Amino acid sequence: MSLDIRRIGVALVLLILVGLPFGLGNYGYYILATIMIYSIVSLSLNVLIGMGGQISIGHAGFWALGAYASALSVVKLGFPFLLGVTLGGIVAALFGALVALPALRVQGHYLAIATLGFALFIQQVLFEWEWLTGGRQGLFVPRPALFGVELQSDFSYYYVLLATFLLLAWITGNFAKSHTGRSLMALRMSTIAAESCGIARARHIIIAFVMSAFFTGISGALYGHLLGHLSTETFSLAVSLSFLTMAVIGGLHSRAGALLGGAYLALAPEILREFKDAQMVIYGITLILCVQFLPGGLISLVEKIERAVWRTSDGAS
Amino acid sequence: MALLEISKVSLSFSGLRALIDLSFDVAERGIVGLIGPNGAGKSTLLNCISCLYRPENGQIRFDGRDLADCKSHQVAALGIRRTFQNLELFREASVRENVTLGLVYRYKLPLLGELFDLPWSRAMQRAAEDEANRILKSCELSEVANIRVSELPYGLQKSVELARALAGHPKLLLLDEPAAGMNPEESRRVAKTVRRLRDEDGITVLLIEHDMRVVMTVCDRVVVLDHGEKISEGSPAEVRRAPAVIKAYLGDEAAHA
Repeated sequence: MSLDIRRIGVALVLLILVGLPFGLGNYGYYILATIMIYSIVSLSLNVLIGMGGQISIGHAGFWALGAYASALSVVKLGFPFLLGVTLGGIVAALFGALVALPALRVQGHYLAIATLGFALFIQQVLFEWEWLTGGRQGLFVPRPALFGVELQSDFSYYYVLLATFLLLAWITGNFAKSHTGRSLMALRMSTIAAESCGIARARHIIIAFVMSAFFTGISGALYGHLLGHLSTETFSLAVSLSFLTMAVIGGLHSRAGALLGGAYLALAPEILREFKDAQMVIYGITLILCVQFLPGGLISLVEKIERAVWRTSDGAS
Repeated sequence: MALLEISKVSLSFSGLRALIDLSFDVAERGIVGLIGPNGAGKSTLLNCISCLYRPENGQIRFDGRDLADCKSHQVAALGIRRTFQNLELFREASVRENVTLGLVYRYKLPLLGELFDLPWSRAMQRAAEDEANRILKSCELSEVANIRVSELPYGLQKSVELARALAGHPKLLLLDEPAAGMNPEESRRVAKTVRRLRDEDGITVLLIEHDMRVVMTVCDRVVVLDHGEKISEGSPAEVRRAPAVIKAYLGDEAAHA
């Protein structure tokens, strides 16, 4: 019974996601597209933080790597769009394996600093590597194209992004049910117990970082083709921090939460535009309130309402 | 033949000598009790065998293999599983999940197959679930299988930890105070379980225990530690009479009385 309700809920959300762009204009399409792009990053943090118990404030680094790898392979090597995006994910994933190495030794604050250093390093290298990345001038990125047909409007691109999000969300769900994913969560709950069960910590931490970096690289690649122009300012420390904020506010243990997080990060600046500099204050307060009262993120609010509805309907029957 | 050989093992923590030149063997299909006052080094030795600690001197051999270069997660694959004095469970997970996690490493499913939910990887997952269910049943945990471990009473939590260890089909089982915190009735059941594991499943057991009734009824050999040193070894009856043991437990006057 509750499984059926869940299915109906998922179908409803899908329907809404498919129907959203209708009646909107170009700017609306663009905002919807960024929601999907952010949500993919949020998924990646679900894997790394929610399942793996690791921390990263360096995801802007993976995002940048994905964006530049895809853009450059399309511009300079003539790769088709989809191949470029995949390459963006792969390049980021390789660096993910690299960033996992400090995570095998240090945790918590130290790991946060290490990942932060990684993101700053990537940003700086991309900035200085002028002949390749355009440095200060930046880099023009062609529109996305599927099988030789250019997607002129963000309306159609939104559906590509939605499909990508759904594919990665499906993979994330499979991962959460998989032996590997469950072993990763076991390590988070008790490393000593997990190792006594024969679960190798290093292997699983590396997998978590590689997967998370791959997702974020894909997202960065898709973002580059949406923007049409890349400059290294896009991948600042502030972006890494807002990724973390979005993932926490949306919910770190839920794919629907990842979607809410993406929506929050894309929509909040739009809604709060009037507040100008006071925006940062509001973000800060939102985060504090969320951590204090909704540690499971916005999605846990939805789940609470769902349970309350269940109780009343149980009582009535 | 000895399944586990401890030879001349020493370890100290910042000057405190936790284990001193310790040697003894655990025979295949034996049940060996490790006893001694608190701080004698019993758990330290168990941690050395499970490669959580590394001895500074000496050697630990299991099944003829030196454990010196073994990592703590590789010990399980060799056939050594354990429980912990203060319980190391996956507390937020269900009983079934705890037991399943005890056996997943043996299935070695390729990650890509699992990520794309391919039919054969799904079949293997189901095989693992079936095996977990069998273990739950034989450990009489089926009824609580879906309950979160942290919500169970202490005694049942200990059973879950044992079930999780058994899920690895160990050759050697290390039990750190399996009867601690249990009433006499429950302790008797623990003793019976340990015997059954040896008699029916052929599992060798090394156990730390303070409950002397359990030690005396279940062990065929007992090793007594005090301040990191072996002060006695023998059958339960022999050890009980040894003056060094009486002294360690009850003090000098008792030994001379």
